[in-house]
Amino acid sequence: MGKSITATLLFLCLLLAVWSGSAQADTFIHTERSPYRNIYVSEDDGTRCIRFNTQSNTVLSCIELKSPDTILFDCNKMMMGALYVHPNPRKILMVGMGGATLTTALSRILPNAEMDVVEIDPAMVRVAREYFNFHPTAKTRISIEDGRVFVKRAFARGEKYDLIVLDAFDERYIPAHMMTLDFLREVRKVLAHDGVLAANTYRTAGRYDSESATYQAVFGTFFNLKNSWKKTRVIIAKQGELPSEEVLSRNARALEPKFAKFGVHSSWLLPLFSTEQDWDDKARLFTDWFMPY
Amino acid sequence: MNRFLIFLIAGWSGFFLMAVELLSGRMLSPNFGSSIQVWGAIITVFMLALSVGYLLGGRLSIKDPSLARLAAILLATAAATAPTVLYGDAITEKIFIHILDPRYGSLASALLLFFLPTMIAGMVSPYAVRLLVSECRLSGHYAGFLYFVSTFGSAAGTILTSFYLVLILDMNQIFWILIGVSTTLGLLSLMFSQLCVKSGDFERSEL
Repeated sequence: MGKSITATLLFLCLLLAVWSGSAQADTFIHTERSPYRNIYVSEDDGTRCIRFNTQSNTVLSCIELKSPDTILFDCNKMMMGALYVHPNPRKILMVGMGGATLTTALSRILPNAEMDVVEIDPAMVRVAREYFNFHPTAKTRISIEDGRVFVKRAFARGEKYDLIVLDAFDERYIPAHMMTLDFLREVRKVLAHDGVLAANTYRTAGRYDSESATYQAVFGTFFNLKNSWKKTRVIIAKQGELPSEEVLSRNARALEPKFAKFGVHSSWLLPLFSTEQDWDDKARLFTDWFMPY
Repeated sequence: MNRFLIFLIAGWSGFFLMAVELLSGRMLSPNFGSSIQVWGAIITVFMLALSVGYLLGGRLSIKDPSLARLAAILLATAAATAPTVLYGDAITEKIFIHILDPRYGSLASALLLFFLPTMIAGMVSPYAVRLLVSECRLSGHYAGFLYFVSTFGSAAGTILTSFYLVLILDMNQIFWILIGVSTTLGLLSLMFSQLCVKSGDFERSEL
């Protein structure tokens, strides 16, 4: 009896130590209270991150202070894969910017490309500028606006983009009105005739089938990039037919020197390109009228 | 039975209002987004419409208040919501084209689509209070209980719509169910009030 009490106490002490250790591991260096969320900038062991919550381990975006160019998140590396499909986009639209690591990488790789960056929360832009080395060039236009409204207005203006990156998240997931069939059709309308779309999504149970079927209904077959042990999934779709493996490999080889600077290597990225369908294609599509999230 | 129907109408009206308000956000988001300004526009219009509705409902209750007229208010709410469902997309698209600023676009859309049904629904509570109050001494008691029922209905409408209905039904279906229940309850109340008039119960029931 005495032994079991001692063991329980030891276990509780260990738990407390682990908990207090994890709570103290990160130092919060900045807090921004925006109309949409609280944004926290934390630092730990040379890594600076954006969080929406001080308690959870979920981070939105991170950079290494010693090598800020290195892309740390798989999802961002996977979205860079869109350039294997269309290696030289001249006009880019990014919906949602987070810490702007991908925006910065794309503007360095493609210095002549015009880039529209749409972010609903002005606080995110301030944080990216001050803490994440985001220095927009003359070719980068930032719009503080809802992504869907921007896309509709862009269509009305007759704009076309060679590359569209969908990376808008709130504290739960992608905002509901930016997951629907209707929205993706609007996105397709502003995609150039050989344009490519990269969408950051997650393999979340209950949503994966419908989300995949909705993308398939608008874009047909797409590249479904997944990492094996995390829930990251990036959809790369194209206006028209997808390129062959040979074309992908050729583009990957050509881009390798530029990508290497950001820690992205074709030996890791290229094998993730798959068109295998692993979802129920009869799943109910997400529409503006049916969106159960 | 009359009192039960009055409370039922007040409770359902609260349910209806909050369900429609929640769905209005979804209805406007394709054209104006889901920013804090859009929700600000929606809440402004609902509050404004309710305030006018309370005023009109109170005025209307002065002359010949009856269960039949309360039922007619409920039927009018349902009738005023139908065009919102039928033409909502077309109207918001037109406004999107003509008003570039999403703040004013969403405000104009909310005014056109939701002001009238919300205003009519707002008439229910003050009108119902007048029907319930038979003596001054009990007016606070009845008003308090009516607000309890109405606000409880609002809470139920909010949680049922956001937690469950949107998971299984599309927005159109939810709107038509809301309109259908309002119409059914309105017609039942109307029929009951007619029966009471014919049987002479109406006068005895102090309505």
